[in-house]
Amino acid sequence: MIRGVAWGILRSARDTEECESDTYLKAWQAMPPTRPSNLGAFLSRITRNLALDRYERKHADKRGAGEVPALIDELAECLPDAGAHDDFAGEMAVREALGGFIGSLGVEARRFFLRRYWFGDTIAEIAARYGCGEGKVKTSLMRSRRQLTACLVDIDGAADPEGRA
Amino acid sequence: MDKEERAWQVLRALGDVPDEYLLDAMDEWGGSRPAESGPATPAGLSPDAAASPSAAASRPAAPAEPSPVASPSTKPAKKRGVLLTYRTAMRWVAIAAACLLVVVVVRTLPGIGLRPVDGDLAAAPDDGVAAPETGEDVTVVNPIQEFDSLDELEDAAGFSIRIPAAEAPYDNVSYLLIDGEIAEVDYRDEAGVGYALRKAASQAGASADAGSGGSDSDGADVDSADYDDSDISGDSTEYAYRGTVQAALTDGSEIAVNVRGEAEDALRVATWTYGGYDYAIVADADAPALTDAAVLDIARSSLAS
Repeated sequence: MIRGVAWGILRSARDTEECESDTYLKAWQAMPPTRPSNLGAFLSRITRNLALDRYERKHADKRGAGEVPALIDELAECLPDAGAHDDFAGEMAVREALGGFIGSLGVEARRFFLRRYWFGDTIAEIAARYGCGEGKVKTSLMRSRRQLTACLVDIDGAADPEGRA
Repeated sequence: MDKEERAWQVLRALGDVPDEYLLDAMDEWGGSRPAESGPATPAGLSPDAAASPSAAASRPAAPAEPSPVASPSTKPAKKRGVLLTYRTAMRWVAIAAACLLVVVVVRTLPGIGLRPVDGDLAAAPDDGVAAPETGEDVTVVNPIQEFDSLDELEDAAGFSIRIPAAEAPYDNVSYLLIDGEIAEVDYRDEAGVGYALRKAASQAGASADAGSGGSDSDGADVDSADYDDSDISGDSTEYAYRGTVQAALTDGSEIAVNVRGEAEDALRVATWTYGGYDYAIVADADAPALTDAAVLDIARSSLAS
């Protein structure tokens, strides 16, 4: 499972192997003060963060392979033009808005969205996983991204009512 | 902050989604496997999620998502108390199992090095699936296959491997294939301490000299070794010393061997690329460190035709 999460982002067997090892070490360091309510979610989060860190460092100067460039493009497309969330408060606002957005999705749309943007699955992998057509997955993701745009526009409006970029 | 940076921000912020949604999307952890013709149901994920009607959850695009916290309010107070006690007990069981898992995993790491110890891994079943390691539905797929001979390892790896002769006390030799692509030959003493030689086909474009038949690599750029695809050592320990030594081959060419260890004359890891293959030598933390001469000797013998 840890390998699955790392693989979804890194798409490299060697990086995945190292990321898995890093996850166990990180979990060991974090476990005593942080009693996870669910081990699977706890380890998966660590793995995802480490995989994203590793991916960003490795591809700092160029676009990497795998699904991450596509995920970034898709998310960038649905982001509102205005808004700057590079401060701590802005980042927290984004996280809060995302929590609300995920909770507002239907069960199936939420699964598709998380498989795509949390686990880095391809459209084909999602369709195969849930036994449906790729078109259905694409449509669902497109609608979800529109909803995400609306959520982020809302926080931009709240943070910057004058619409300054 | 441009849009790409903001997209990264959103991608990272998604990591904070509540556990219940995450678990629902990852059926490996307690959720049921998706049916052939429909999406997975959340039944069995947790006492909360189990309260959700699976039929409703499996409806495509169900408009009314079952609330994971709605059902407890309809239960009698006594039942809620029992449920809470049960949940608390299960949480402690899960935490204990998690600690056990981490202890088992960390025991396989020599020092803070992240290379698994062969002895522990070899104890895993040969069918590639380790036993469940925690009280939850946790299984870890064992990526390591062990073979009885070098020939079998070569057949499985798809390339030939030249190895140095075993010398006492490191004469317990084992042949492993990691993830179907990294061949490893271990030389251990009776205590399971020793050295490992790894070889794998270079990833396309990962190395400047992959497939070039032995021209100088740009391995001198050791600062980037942490994320170098050609480093198949699996040892990410931050050693005090890093360097590069040149190995002269019998055909007159040279290869650059990246080395690292406690000191210039106490090396733990050596990596190099030649002829489209990546190589690595790793000395266990408890084994005597290697010298430049020993590394070059092994490197030359592994490349001899």
